[in-house]
Amino acid sequence: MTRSFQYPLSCLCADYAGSAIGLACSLGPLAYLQPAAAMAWLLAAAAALFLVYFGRTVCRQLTHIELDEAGIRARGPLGAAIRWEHLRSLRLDYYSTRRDRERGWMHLRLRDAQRTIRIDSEVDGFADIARAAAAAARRRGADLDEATCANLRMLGIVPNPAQAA
Amino acid sequence: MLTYTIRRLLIMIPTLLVISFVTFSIIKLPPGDFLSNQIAELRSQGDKAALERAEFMRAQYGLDKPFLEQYAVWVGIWPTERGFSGLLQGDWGWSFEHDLPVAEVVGDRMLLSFILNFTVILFTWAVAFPIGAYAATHQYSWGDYGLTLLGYVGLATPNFLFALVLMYFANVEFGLAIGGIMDPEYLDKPWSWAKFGSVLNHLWIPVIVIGTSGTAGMIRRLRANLLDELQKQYVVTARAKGMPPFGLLVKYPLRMSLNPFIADIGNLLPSVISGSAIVAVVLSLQTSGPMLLDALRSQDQYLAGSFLMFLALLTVIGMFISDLLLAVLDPRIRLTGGMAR
Repeated sequence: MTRSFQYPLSCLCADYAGSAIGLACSLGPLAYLQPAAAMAWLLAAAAALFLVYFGRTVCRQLTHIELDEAGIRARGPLGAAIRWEHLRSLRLDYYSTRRDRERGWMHLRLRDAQRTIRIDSEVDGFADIARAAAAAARRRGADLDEATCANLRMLGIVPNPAQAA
Repeated sequence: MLTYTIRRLLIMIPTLLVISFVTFSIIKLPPGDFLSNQIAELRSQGDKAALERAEFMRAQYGLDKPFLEQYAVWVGIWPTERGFSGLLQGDWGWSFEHDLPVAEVVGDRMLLSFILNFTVILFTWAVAFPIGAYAATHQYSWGDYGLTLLGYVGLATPNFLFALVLMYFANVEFGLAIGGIMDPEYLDKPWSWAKFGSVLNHLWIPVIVIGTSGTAGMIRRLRANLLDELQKQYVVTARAKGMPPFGLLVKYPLRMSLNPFIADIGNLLPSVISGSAIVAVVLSLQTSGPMLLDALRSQDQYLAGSFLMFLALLTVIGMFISDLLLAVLDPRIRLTGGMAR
């Protein structure tokens, strides 16, 4: 059975707002305040970064993640498909901008020989996707680094049942 | 990683705005300003021409304008008669005390501070790393006890006191005058190899004085972190599998115990420019620390404000770099809580 997941509108709105604020704060001074050359380059670099972020948010809005027994597919502008039997690596990272490392988000990266699928934990059903990917990685005997194992455990997924036992 | 970088950048924008506002407010907090103090002095002396000049400068630099307007002009988001001219435009303002642009006053001293404090950091790391690693791998040995004692002495001795003791002994025992960061004849002269050599000759005393406490602190932290790592299961497993001890130490536990040092980069960047102000005063070093103290004391608002803002910017950038490095090195969730959204 194929299940489909999407990024919720609330998280997309926050990302759009972030990129809009960033673009306003970098392009605004660049256009109106005649900054010094070094500052102008800095603002231009920041503007470029926020522009890429805006583009990525648009891509996310148009992307659907499809999950089934055969593999995982990201349908959208930067779509890719990975069959579980071709899965080469799984990496699950955790990021937080707070000093206490609370209230962060996870980033799942799946790779086969050619393609990479990147999914953030804001997507609906992220735990299900991570569980399916971890099961496939286990079947394939893929090496998981220490950080990935710790993060999987925090999602309630046992990366290596032999270790748990 | 892009999301993380963008979110960290978004946090930096309000942080820098708040810091700039707080910095400017603190500089303006005491009643009066540099020029009003000057005007009062000139008035008591009856110097009319200088009085008119001071009043003219007061109007020219907008010190008679409302506080918020002065702040906006200083940052460079509000135009003056000459157009936008603030920090964003690279104009650090005018130093009333030195009667020069702030950039000119700060220039040479900033370079000297950078050379001094960067050497201090190199010295600290070069000494602390091997000693810390030795103390951790030879726990409770005579070497460990001896180095620990030295570390505590280094931590407990204030830098300015160490500087005074060193100056006294150098003078009394060896007849050496060790103050200053170069020979007096090179002061205010353009840079040359002779001047650079003179700086290097004078550098070792302040480097040892300033670096001792930092070295001691770093030895203690590295020892503690490394001991934690050495007791973990993966180290025991690697040992059991016959991995060479030195290779094992360098490849895994030493790398993991570096996280606190990477987290410290945020504090390191501003200290490269402004660190060790009190020692610089004691040793008569021509660095930026004493200049900042003087500027704060005399309410030279643009010199003090621009310099403090520059330090704040370095802190924020340092924190940003250290956060990015930490996120790359150890993207793990906290096991004590911290659920992802």
